[in-house]
Amino acid sequence: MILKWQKLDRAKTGEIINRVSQTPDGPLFSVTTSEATIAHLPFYRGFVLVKLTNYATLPSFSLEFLSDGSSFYLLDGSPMPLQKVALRGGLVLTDQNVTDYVEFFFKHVTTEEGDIYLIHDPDDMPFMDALSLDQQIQIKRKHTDMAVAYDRDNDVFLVQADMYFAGVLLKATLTIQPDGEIQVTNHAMLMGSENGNGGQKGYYA
Amino acid sequence: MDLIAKLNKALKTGFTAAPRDGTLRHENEVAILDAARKMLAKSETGQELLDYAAGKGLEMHVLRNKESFGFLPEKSVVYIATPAGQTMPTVRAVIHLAGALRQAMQEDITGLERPANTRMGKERYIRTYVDKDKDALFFQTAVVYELFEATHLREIIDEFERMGYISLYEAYKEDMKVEGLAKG
Repeated sequence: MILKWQKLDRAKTGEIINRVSQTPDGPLFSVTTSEATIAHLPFYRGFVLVKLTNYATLPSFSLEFLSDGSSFYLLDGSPMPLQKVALRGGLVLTDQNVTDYVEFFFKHVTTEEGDIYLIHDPDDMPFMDALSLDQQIQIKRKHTDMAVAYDRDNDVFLVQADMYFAGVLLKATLTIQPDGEIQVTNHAMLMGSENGNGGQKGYYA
Repeated sequence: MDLIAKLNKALKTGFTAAPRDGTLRHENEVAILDAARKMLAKSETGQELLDYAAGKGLEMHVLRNKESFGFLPEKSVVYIATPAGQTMPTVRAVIHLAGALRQAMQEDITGLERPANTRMGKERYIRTYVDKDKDALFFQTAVVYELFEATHLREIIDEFERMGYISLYEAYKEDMKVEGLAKG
C-alpha cells in the first residue's frame, strides 16, 4: 500500500498541534517548525492518517494519529487506537482492502517480544542473510503469497500469510474480525531462526 | 504461555496498562527511563553520554510510540519512545537514547552545532546535518559494540541489523581488533 501524503496549510497544522501536543512540559510541536500531512487509507471511512513532524528536533521527529478531524488517536504501538476507530464505525473491511489493513495493523502494533513482519518476499526478510544457503532455499520453496478468503458463516476474513515473529518463521491463518481484531490461528513453523528467540525481556537486570 | 498465545493476547488487548488519554507521554516513563539509563551505563560511551546529560541537566522523556526519538534544543529535552503498555524500553529505544544524547552533546562541539540559520549556504548547511548524523551514528555504533561486549546479548546486534547498520558494527569491531582494543 503506497500512501499519498498531502501537506496541510499552516492554519490547519496549528489547529492539529493545539489538539494533540499535550505533554506536561509543554507542546512538543510548534507551528513554525512543524508540518502536518494526511493520507487516506482504503479501509477507513471518515478517518485519515495524520502525521506531525517537528523539524526543529534532532533528528526530525514524527508522530502519527488516526483522526476524524475532531478526535486524534495516537498510534502508540498498541492495538487500542485502531480498536477505538473501529468502535466508532470507521473501519470498513472488504476483500479488496483487508490485506492493506493487516499490513497497516502490523506496522503500527507491536508486542513485548518485538515487531511482527509479514513476509512478501523472502529476500527482504530480516535475518535472511544470516541463514545457510539450504535454509534460504527451503524458505523460498515454502513461501506463498498472501491469500484472502471471506468466511460468510462467521463474518470474518481469513488471510493466509507467511510471518516472522520473535525469531520464528510462521505460515499462519490470520482471522480478521469486522471490528478489526486480528488473531493468529492454524500456524505452522516454517523454521526457527538461528538468532534465538528475539525476545527483549530480561536484558535490563 | 506459548508464543502464539502471547502474540494473540498482545494483538487483542495490547499490554498490561491502558495509556492515559490526553498526553503523548508514556504511562511507565519513570521505569522505562530508569531501565534505559542502567542499560546504557553498561557501555563506557553510554556512561559518558549520561554524565554529559546529568551535567547539563537535560530532561529525558518517553513518548507512547514505536520508535521516534530526538533532542529538542530549545527546551534541552531528549525524547525516546516505547510502545504503550510496555514497562521496559526496547533495545532500539536504548540505542535511540544514545543517539539523542549525542545530538544534545553536539550543541557544545564546534562544527557540530545546529546551524542557527540558512545564510551559511545550502551546501554547507546540508553538510553540517550530514556530519551531525554521521557523528551520532558513530556513537550509537560504539554503544552497540560496547553493550554487546559487556552483556553478550545477541539481541543488541540483531536490533542494530534491523535498523540497517550491521556493516557499521562490523567495521567498528574490526577497527577495535586492528587497534588491539578488542576484549577477549
